[in-house]
Amino acid sequence: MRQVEYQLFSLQNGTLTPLYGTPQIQGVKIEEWEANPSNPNVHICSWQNQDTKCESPNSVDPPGQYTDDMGAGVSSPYTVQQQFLVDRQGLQVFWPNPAPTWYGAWGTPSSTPPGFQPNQTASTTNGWATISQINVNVKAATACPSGCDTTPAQAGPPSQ
Amino acid sequence: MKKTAERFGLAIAGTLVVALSCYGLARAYLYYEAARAEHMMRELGDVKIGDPESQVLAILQRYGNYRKAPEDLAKFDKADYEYEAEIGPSGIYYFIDRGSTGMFCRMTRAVLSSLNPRLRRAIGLRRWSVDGRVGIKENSVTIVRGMVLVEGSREWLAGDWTLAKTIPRYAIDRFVTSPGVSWPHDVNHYLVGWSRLIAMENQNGGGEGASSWITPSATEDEKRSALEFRWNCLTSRSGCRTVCDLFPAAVEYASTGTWKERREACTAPRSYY
Repeated sequence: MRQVEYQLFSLQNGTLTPLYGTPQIQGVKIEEWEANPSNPNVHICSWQNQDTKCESPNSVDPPGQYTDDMGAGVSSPYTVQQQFLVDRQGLQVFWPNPAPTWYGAWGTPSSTPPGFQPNQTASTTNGWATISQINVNVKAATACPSGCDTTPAQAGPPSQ
Repeated sequence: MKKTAERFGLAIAGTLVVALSCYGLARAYLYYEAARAEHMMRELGDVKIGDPESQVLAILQRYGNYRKAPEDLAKFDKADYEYEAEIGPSGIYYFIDRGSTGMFCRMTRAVLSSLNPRLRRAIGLRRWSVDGRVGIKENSVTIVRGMVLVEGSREWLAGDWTLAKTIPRYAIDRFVTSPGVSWPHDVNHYLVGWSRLIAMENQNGGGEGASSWITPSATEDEKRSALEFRWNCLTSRSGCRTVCDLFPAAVEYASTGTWKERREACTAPRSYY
């Protein structure tokens, strides 16, 4: 299983600065929306049903961070599109490509269902998952001097 | 005409008796298997790091359904190889592969899965499985795991424990070093975490689970807490409501975070069915 921890940063002058763990993060809600799974039988984070919503804070994640658990290995391989929102607003999701340079993706405005603008696609197979950003903003290289995990979106499972 | 009515009445009465007998037998069988599962977990809970492989094999053999685990699990746990055993007459996943599972067990699963889930839960035939896993390195035990997965009243509930030489860094980072967490134990001895059960098929619904890790230096109280399950969750007609009802160690997890969602983990279950 791959666990990806998303944390909230502010972007100023091409630099990401951590917001998580600071007092001003209290009350902030992160949501993960998922749609268009290739396997309709798997559970996804559907925001249209109260009980399948994925949001932070939750019983594991404090305000300002959200952990996505992907690919437990009991279901067959599948892909799913993902969008992240903070206080109901879409935002850019940054990945290192490669570190120390980070690129963000707003995603595509033309997806279904209406209102869904996925930032990225997750593909799970053999109990692991990889991420592909959608519409990466390659013109805006960004720095993250501290607090960022440099594991790439396409990383494979850790070797033990 | 009167004879036909009598025959019809007899047929209905006969069907009712057969149905009630089957139900009674199914409940009795699930009770019996739940008691076996509890025994297996107690015995695995007494296994210590460094115990000889032969001692563990003797335990697993008593419970029948075991095999060598897939290599990737052993690799992840840095063991030479692992054994896993399963008692799951009504489970949904074959942790031990279908071919190595007994015919009777496969039949009970097939019958239970053919019943309407709402009806099945209403009459107290809950699905569950109990699994043990032991990693071996140089012919002695290096890691022991136990897991219970059961259909609760509103969602699937899981609890699992791991005895290992060290608690993995990822678990400490995830559950203790987050802002707003104050864990009252030495995190190198004892830790409890929480997770959503993921990648379950829609037809089965989703759920939540808690996990504990202990090392040989955990105190007796910590060991007891890490290994405790409420076994009546497997057989109760109404089913347990939250992870904390099944796995009491989770109560301490919930109470050691400052934010509302963690503090309410034991009182506000999701409703997946």
